[in-house]
Amino acid sequence: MSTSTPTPAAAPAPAPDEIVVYPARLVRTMDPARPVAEAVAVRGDRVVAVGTLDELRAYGPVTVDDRYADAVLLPGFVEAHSHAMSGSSWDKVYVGRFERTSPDGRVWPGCEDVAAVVDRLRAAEAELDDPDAPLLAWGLDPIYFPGEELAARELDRVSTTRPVHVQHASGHIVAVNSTMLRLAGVDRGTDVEGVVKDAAGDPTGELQEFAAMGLVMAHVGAGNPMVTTPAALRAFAQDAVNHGATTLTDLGSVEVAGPAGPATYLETVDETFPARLSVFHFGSAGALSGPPREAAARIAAARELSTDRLQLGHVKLMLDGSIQGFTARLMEPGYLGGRPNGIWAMAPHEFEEALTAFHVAGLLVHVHCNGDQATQLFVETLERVLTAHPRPDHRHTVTHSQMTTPAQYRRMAALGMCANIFANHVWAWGDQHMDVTVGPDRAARMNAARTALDTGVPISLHCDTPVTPLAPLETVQHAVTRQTPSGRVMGEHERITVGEALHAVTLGGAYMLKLDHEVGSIEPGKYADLAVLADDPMAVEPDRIGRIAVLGTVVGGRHHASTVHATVTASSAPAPALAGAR
Amino acid sequence: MTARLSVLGGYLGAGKTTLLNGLLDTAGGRRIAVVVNDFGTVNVDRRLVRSATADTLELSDGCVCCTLRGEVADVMTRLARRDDLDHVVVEASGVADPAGLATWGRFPGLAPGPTIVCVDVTRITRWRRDPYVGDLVERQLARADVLVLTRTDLAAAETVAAAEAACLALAPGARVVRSRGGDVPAAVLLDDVAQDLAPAPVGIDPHRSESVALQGLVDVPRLVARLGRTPATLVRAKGFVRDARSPGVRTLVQLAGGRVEVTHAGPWAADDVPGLVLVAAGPDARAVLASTASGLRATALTGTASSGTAPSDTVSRTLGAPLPVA
Repeated sequence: MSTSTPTPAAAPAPAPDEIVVYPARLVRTMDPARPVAEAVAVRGDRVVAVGTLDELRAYGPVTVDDRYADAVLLPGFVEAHSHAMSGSSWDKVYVGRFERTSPDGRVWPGCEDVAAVVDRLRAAEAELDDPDAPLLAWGLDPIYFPGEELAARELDRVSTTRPVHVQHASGHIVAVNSTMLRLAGVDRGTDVEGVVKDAAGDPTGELQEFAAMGLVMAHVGAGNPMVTTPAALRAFAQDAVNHGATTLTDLGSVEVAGPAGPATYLETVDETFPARLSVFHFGSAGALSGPPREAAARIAAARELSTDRLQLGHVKLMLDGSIQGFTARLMEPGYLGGRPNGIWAMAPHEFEEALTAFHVAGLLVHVHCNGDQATQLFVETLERVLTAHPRPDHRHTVTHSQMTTPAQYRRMAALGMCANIFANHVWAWGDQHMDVTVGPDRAARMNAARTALDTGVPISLHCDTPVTPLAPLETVQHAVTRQTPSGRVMGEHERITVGEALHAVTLGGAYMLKLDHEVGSIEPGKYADLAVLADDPMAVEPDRIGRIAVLGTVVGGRHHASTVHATVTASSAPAPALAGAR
Repeated sequence: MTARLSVLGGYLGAGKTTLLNGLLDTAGGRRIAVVVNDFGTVNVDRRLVRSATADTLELSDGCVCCTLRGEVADVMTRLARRDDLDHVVVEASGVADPAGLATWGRFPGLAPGPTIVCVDVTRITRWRRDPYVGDLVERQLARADVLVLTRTDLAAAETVAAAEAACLALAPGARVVRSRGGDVPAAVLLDDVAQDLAPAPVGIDPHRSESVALQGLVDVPRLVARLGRTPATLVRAKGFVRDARSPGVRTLVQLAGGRVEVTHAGPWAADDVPGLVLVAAGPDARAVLASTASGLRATALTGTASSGTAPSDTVSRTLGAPLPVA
C-alpha cells in the first residue's frame, strides 16, 4: 500500500528587493530584543525587521500580505535528530499504538489492540490491486498488547492468499501470515533459531532476529534503508511542513563520504525544497563509513558544497543501543531485574580514534548515547581528545542523552558540550521505563532537561523520526508536562517551562547545528523561516500544546502549506498571495 | 553440500584478522567462505582471484571472501544458497556477541559449526577489568567452542596459563588452541570438535574436556579433597552440585590454578544440571579425564538422590559404579 506525497504547492519567491510585510495575530520571535510583535517584514529570503506595521513601513515601500493575519508566527522549528528515510516508511501500512500523520496529511489513528491492527490491515489489503503483491506493515509494538498474540493465526484473517509481513517497532521481530510461511518454505521442519513454534511444533508466524527474519526476506522486496531517494526526502520535508519544522537533520548517512557522494541531496534539496537539511555523516557503520581519517577529509571537502538549504559537514557517531530494547549501556545498577548490560555499537578504542579524527578535522560530532555509561564514555573520551587537541566552540553533542546524570551534565558544561534530549520518550515509552526498564527512580531523572539547563548545558529536544513522530510542538508538550500515556508524571522536577522548551526546539537546535546565526529566531538578518500556527503555545494549557494546528511553514520567504490543515489555512487566511502595496 | 557456519569472535585487536588469513592460507582443499567487515584487512593474493564483484572475491582454490557492506541477511542468504562450500566463517565485530551471528547456523543451506573466540593473552586481564567492555569480553568468551589464545609468544608461560584458566572458567568445555602468530591450521579450527585431532602441530596445544554428571547429593568436602589430588594436567574443573548439607543451594565448585574454590550461587533451580566439566591438557589428557571422572563419582556422591530431580535408578545408571556408603 503506497501513499503518494503531493508536490508541495510552493509559491514563487517574491522579487528579491521587494519588502513584504506579514501581519499576524502574534509574532513570537524568540529574540529577547523584541519577543513579540505585530508583523514581520521579509525581503528575499531574509527577515528585514519585526515590529508594528508603522515601524516596518520605515524600511521603505512595502507590500502587505495578509495571509497570516489570523495566525501565530514562530521561528520555524529545528529538528536536530531525525532521519530522512522516515519519508519512505509510509510506503507500508502503519499499525503502531499511537496516532501518526503521514506526509500526505492522512491521519492514522493508533491501533489500540490486536483487533484494530487486523482491521487496519484488512482495509489496506482491500486497496491493493496486484493480487500477488505482499502486504507490508510497520510500527507494531506488542509491549502495549500484553497477553494478546499477533502472528499467523491473526494475520490469516487479513488474507489467506496474499503474503502479509508486519514489522515490530523494535526492528528485531516480524509477524507473517501462513501464506508467507508457505511461500518461504517455513514449516515444522525449519530448525532456525528465532522461528517461534507452538506446542504442536508448527511455526506461529513470529520470526525473531535476523536469521529467522531472513527466511522471508526474498518475499518482501524491501529497499535498502541506507540509500536515500528523492521521493523519501520530499515526503520527509512535507512531514516537516505539516509540523512547523523548517530545519531538519538526516542524522546518519553513509552516502556523503561514499562513492555516491552527496549527489541525491544536492539534486533534491534545491531552493524550492520546503526545508533546510543538515546531513550528518554516519561514522559508525563499519566498512560503509570508511576509515575515520579518510572520511573526515571527504566530509570536510563536502562541507564546501553546502548551500543555503543543504548543510554538509557534520558527523554522527553511535555508542550504544536503545533502553526499551535493553541494548543501551547502563552504569550500575543496570537494568531493573538484573538483565545483562546492553551492547556497544563501537569499541571504546575505535570511538576515540574516530572522534579524534573528526574533531581534528574541525568537524562537529553528535554522538548517540542512550544509556548513562555511553554518556560517560563520550565525556571521558572527549576530555582526553580536547586536552590533546584544544578547539574553541566545538559544540560536540550528546544526542538522546536519556540517562545522563547531574554529575555528567556538570562535566559536559565544563567541556563545552551540548545535549539533544529525547523528550518524546517520556510519552512513547515512559510507562515502560518506570515499570520495566530502569524503575521509577531512574525513570524520574531520564531526559533531564531541567538539570541540563540548570548546569548550563545548551539543549534541544528531538523526535528521532521514524522512531517517534516528527512534531516539535508535541515534543515541547512532553518536556513541559512529562506525562506518560497512563497519566503519571515521570519526574516532575525535570519539567521545563514552555518558553524554555520552545527555545530548545528553535535556537537550541540551531545552536548545536551551528546555524543559530541564520535560523532559530525571527530576527533581522536571519532567514525568513517561520512556523505558521493556529494558536500561541504560550497561551494554551500545556497539555494542549501538541494539538495546536500547524498551517504550514515559510522557508527562506517561500510559503509551504500543510497537507493536514490546508483547508484551515484556506478558510482562515483567504488573502490573495500578494495584497496591493500600501 | 551444506556448509558449516562458524562465527569468529573476540574483542577488538584479539587477532581475528590474522587468524582468518591463516585459515585461507591453510584451507588445504576445504572450500571456505570468509565473511569480513572489510576486504582491506584480508591478505588475498590478487593473482589467485578468479573473479571479483564489489563485495565478493572468488579465489582460484574454491575459497570465497565476502564483505558485509549492507545487510548481513543479504550475504548469509546468498552463501546459504551455494552448494560448493564446506565452511562459512563470519568475522563478528570486536564488540559483537557471537551468538547473534551463530543463529544463522541453522538457516536452510547451512549447518552450525564451532564458535571460535580469539583471546589476546597479553591483554585479556586488562580487558576483563575494563569498566566499559569487561562484561562484553566475558560474554564473548562464554560463547566459545574453540578458544584461540593469541600472542602466546609475547607472554610469560604463567601469563598464558592464567589467561587459559580464566577463559576456561567462562567457557568450560571449550577446546583451547594456542597460537603464536595466527599459525592455526584450518583443520584444527574448523573440523568437528568430536573428531580426533591430528598430531598437534608446533605451537598447538589441544585440550580435552569431559562432563561428569553428579546427580544426587554430594559430599562436598570429599569432592574438594579428591579434586585436590588430581594431577596438574587437569587444568580446570567447574560446575554446580547439590551439597548434602545445603541441598537447596546451588553450590559452585571450581578448580583453577591448582586451587579448589567452593561458593554458593543462589538457590537450586529445577533445570540446573548437577555435575562438573573437566578440562585436561597434555598427552595423557584422556586418561586423566577418565580417572578423575570415576574418582569423583566414587568419592563424592552420598548415595542419596536429590528429591524431585532424578529417580534413584537414573542415579545408579549415571554413576555406573557402586554407590559409596554415605
